[in-house]
Amino acid sequence: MALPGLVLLLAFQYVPLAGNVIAFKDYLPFIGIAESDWVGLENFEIITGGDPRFVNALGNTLIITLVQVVLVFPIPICLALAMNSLVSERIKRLVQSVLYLPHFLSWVIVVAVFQQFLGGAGMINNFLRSQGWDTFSIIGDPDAFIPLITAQVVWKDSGWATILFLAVLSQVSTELYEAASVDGAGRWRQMWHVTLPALRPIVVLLLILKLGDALSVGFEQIILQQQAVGLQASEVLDTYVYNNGIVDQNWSEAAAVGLVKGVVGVVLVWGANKVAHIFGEDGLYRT
Amino acid sequence: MIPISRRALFGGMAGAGAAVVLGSCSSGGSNDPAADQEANSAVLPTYVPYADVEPDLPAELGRTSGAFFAYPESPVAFSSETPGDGEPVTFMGPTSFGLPPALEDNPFWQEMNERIGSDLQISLTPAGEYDAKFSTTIAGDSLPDAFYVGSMPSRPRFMMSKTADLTEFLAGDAIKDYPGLASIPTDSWQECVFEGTIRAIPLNRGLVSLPSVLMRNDLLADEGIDRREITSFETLREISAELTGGNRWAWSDAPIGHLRRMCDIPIRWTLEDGTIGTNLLDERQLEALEATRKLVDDGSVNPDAAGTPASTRKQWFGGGQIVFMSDSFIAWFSLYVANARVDGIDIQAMSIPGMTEGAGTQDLPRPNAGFTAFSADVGDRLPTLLRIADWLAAPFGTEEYLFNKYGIAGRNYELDGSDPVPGDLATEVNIGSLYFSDTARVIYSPGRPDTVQDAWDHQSAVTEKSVVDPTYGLLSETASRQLNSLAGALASVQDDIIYGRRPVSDWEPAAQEFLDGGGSTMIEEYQESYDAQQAGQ
Repeated sequence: MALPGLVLLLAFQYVPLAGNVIAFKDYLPFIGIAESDWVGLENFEIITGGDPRFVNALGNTLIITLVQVVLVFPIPICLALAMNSLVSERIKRLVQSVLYLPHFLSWVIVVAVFQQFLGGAGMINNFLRSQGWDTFSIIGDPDAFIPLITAQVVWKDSGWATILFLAVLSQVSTELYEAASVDGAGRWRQMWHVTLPALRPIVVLLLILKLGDALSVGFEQIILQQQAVGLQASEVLDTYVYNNGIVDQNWSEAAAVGLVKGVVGVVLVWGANKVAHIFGEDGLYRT
Repeated sequence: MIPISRRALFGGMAGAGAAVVLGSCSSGGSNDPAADQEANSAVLPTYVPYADVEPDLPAELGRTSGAFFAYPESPVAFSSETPGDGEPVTFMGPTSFGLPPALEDNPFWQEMNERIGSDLQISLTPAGEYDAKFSTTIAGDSLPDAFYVGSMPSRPRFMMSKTADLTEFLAGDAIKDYPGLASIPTDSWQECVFEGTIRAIPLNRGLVSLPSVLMRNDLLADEGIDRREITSFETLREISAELTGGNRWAWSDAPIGHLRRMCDIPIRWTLEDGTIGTNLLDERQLEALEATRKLVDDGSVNPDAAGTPASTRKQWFGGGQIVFMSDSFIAWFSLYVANARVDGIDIQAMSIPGMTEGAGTQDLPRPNAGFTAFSADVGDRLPTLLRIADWLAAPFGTEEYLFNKYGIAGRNYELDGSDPVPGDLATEVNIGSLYFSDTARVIYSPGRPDTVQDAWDHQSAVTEKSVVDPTYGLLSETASRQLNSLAGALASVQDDIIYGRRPVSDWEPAAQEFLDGGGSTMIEEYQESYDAQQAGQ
């Protein structure tokens, strides 16, 4: 039964890994991988030598990752807790549907919607202008870029991300709450001593997975909005790989950056898993 | 069309101080540029003007395109044969238009397939993203039968290894079997020759692709403004501010190109007294950047200009949300077609004054909008593909040209006298066949003789003081590999500056980085190539 899945995995995940060899070559697509010259570690010089475009992309990536882990990651947990406390099943379903919906819109639509509302010539600004009031600039302002993309991520995906947490919460035995309540625990103490401990394993698991792709921060979302704010504010590693590798056709350099990014991801997952073990959690896996 | 040889063209432009060289821009095989050049010149196709169609306004070397006030009466048939072989032909190209209706909903496309005798399977990509699409297609080794050649590093090597050699069909007099292609002027073909072999067919535009600023003159008139009042940057700035208000802005884009023309530095490479150089560190660069920024700071540029694709800007233009738009000269005519329903629309092009007085400098375009090559894998079908290309290059004045460019009579256009006046369904013809193969362009706007006169007058006026890219026709291996990415990085800093995200003082370090990163080497290589060509003459 697992065979088709395995074949897919091999064909689309493992076989292409061999293509990473171009990171060590001066690859020209029209002469092929085999014919391209070997250049050793030359393509890694943009990383080791601190190429300014690369450093800028890395800096932006790290800032966005930090914001997403610190600000965005907890939001679905809070939402899940809030929804869990809703008593009426009907209202709960309704709230869930409303929160899930944006997840099914593609980034192109989401970005266009934000643009139509908040753009310099967008709906709100046009209204302000027609009233003779001052307008504001959000889209196209590099300083507002990170708050903007963060708001988009929260709006689009927070609701959907509650699913896992809600699933875990539904597994918590009501006897635990009853026992706590008999012992005189109020709602806050119940949350602290019953609900949160139940969520802890899944939170740790998701955090570790999140660290694994810490260096991937929304390629599609960002590339769609990049020109409006310029590369200095918006270039991240994924868009750097695209702009440098595919648009400017430095395939080998881009492969080198991608390879290093992958290695860093593996190290982060492995490291975070170890840390989780130290704190007595199962983490992702145990050996 | 009057044939324009490159030598004559550049000889006729003494005023611009441009002494440029005959030769291919593109070979790269041997170490002897003079020998390469000789081999390339040897295979150039013979130029055979199609017929004696006399333009109403003459073409002049380096100054004007030929112009027609009306489509010739009772157009002749270009060919009596069906060029196709019944098998589908795949093509990939860029487009600057909105996408056309799909084949099954597009009677024009169906008719086109019928007339060609093969199904044209065309895949179009917006022009701004074409290079990325092209490069992934090469990397995936899935090139179609015919494709527009995007810009890429090491293009000569690509042309030699992946495209079909057309030399035996097109070199010298052999091209006479393809009268449409033979009527494309020689200067266009020079770009298609690599290492002594013909590898592509040119998409000739000549002077109709002058980089220009088009304007909604009717909106100016509504405000009581005469476009001739634009005689300096100050007047341009005032008029821009006057035109801006409510939900309308003067500009669709921050017009750095136009301001560089006003500052006499439209092209980054220079040639003075036989020495190739650059104006990137010239003070006038800062002046042009400052001026562009002022327009942005004044609020005269649409606030969403950065990052908006050309197709959206054209909609703003039609909708009157903006008044001025940087575009190619040839868009003048297609904008009339696209906005046929806009009452009283009057399009004009902006003159190029100097910053304070006098005249700025127009940059002359390269002869081609690009070129189309055939996959090396097409084998025996090459003559068929060339016949289709030839058919699509049917010259102005023929029945086929009328169909290719305007569609089906009574559906896509109505005849008004001999002129095809495009109707609501005119967009059906934008299937991209004109990026497959095209004839040499003339100035013509159906049913608008005044526009034809204005357009020809504009060309004649702005080309009085003009300059060409001196590196056209010169070889540089460094440019072939790195120019794209270095220019891209510089353009990104430039955008940051003109949209106010970085100070103007960031220009010089960025320009220096461009030169240190490879620009200076390119200048040296261009110089060597230039010297070799001078010596070879």
